[in-house]
Amino acid sequence: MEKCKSALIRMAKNAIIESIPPDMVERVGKLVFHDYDLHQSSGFPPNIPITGHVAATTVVEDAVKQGRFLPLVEQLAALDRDGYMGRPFKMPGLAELLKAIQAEGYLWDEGSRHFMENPSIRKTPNWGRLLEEEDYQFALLRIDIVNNSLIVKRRGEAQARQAYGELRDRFTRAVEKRFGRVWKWEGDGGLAAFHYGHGGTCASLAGMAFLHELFIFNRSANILGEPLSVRIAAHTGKLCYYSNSAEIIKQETAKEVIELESRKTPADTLCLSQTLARSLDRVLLERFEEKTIERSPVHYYRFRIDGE
Amino acid sequence: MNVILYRTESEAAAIDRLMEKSLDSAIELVALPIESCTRSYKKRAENAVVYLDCESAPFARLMELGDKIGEIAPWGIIDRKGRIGDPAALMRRGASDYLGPLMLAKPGAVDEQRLLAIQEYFGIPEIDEEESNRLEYDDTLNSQGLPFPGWNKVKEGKCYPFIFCYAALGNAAKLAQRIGDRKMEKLRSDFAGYLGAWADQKGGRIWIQDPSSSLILFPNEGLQESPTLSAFRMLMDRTIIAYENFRLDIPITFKFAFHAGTAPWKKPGTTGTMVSEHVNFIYHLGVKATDDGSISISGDAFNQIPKNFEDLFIAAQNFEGKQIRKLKSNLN
Repeated sequence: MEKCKSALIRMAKNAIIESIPPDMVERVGKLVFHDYDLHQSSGFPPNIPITGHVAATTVVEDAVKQGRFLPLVEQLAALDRDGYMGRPFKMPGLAELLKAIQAEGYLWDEGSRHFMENPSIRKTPNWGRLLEEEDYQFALLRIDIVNNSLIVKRRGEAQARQAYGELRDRFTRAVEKRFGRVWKWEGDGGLAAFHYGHGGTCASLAGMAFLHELFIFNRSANILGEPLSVRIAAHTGKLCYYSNSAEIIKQETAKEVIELESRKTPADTLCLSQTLARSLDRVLLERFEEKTIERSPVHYYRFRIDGE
Repeated sequence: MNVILYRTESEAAAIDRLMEKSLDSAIELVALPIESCTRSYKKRAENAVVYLDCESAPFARLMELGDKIGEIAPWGIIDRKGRIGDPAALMRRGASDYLGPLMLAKPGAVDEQRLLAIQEYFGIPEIDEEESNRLEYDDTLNSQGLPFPGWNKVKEGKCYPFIFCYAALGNAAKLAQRIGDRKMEKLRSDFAGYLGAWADQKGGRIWIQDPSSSLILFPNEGLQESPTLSAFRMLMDRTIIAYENFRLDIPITFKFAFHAGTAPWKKPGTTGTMVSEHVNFIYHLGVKATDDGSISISGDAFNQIPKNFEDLFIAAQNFEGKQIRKLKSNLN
């Protein structure tokens, strides 16, 4: 959340003051910030007790300053739902706060108990809330158009660019429909990321959906006069988030998915890494064929209609 | 609703009297020579149950006639002498009723309730006779229909040209066995809801729904995408749809049938029934001649297959006198 309205700040403070003692506020703070010290932050000496009002004001203002207001509210929601060590901490003001945040263009994902930006209002690469240089778990979907240079040579750059642009639009739709974001598109390929819901499943379904779209595209909307082919690979892992995609592709998880696509994925195939495949439900994994390539298992999906 | 009885002249005296006694007074009996059956059944069988007297022809011939009649209407066997040892076998051959000596001896045993049950068994939704008499339709006289004016302007009772789309879950019986009746009912309901949104998005409307299938109408022109291509997309995406929309952890598939013709418009949910040659045909095509995971298209709707997708469809056996094409491979 880039700018926090004062009404939201006030609601958060009140919700905390009404329901959470200062010692608990510090525990919540430690979950939101690294090494949070309420006394240090508030300026009170360690031997002086902090009032509920001061604790609430300090932690909320710190969260706003460091762009962690949403993570703070998420921790409050977790406390309200689960309590702490058997102690309940119901927050009567929390429901109103959650509604007010949603009115600012955020959705509350009950599954992950996180906020994310409402895609009908805006779609930003960080879903409106991932922080620079913070580690997160992602599923990545890497796509590459096969024989790009030959196509450009045969059909000309303008036509190729137009066709690739159409593909990019379809790829983006398949990704964003599953709460993913296209982080990078270089003309003949790109990289998408999934963070919400079950990222691996979302990436797999987006990849499958795109291959079906490609089948239709090649027969109906492809202006090149020859079918386009792609390789798609999906993998999961930890990444440090950067808004600059150049910093992302230097990291291990991104390198792994790029290598999976370029070295182990045949044309018109979606290839899942073993890491990702392990997290898929059986009913989806059954659509994939397991192979061993260079001594490691991978999982392939292709759309074929007999005789093709 | 009436009963058509085919028998020989020599049997007429005995069987006609017996039938009249066993028929409820509200049911009209039309008795005809069995020799005229192949010429007359198509015209006579609409909104009727057809009976064949088993004393009037050899068994094989009766079955042959039954097969023909069964393409468009329910049929049964009259066995006043109780000769048929296994009446249930007739059902497996496609018959919808059997009247043996006991039933024929009961006055009024063949009543409207029985005939409605027979029609339902056969697969024809119940007809509201009053409504159907009010409607202006005649598939032969008005085969073009009025030009389709848009869903907001269609008028009750007027005939329009449509693309009929039969849609159902594939492998329904096996699915029900696997997930149980309660979950199957929920799945059917979820699928019906999904189809409704799909039809709306593609320019069509769900018209008739029963627990096992939906009949969707599309205008025959002005659509952004051919309904057959939209159906093909749904088949391709079946795994994705099942997982994302129905939260299923088992594989499913669908089946679609397409036909083009005219029908009198009635608002969905208020029709109760609609029986016309084209509606009968699309249900028969969907139920009897479409594989799970496939799309069948009648000759009247061949122009709905986009040119660049024609090679995905191959010629199938003719059905009820019409050419049929189907997907060259089932998507299960």
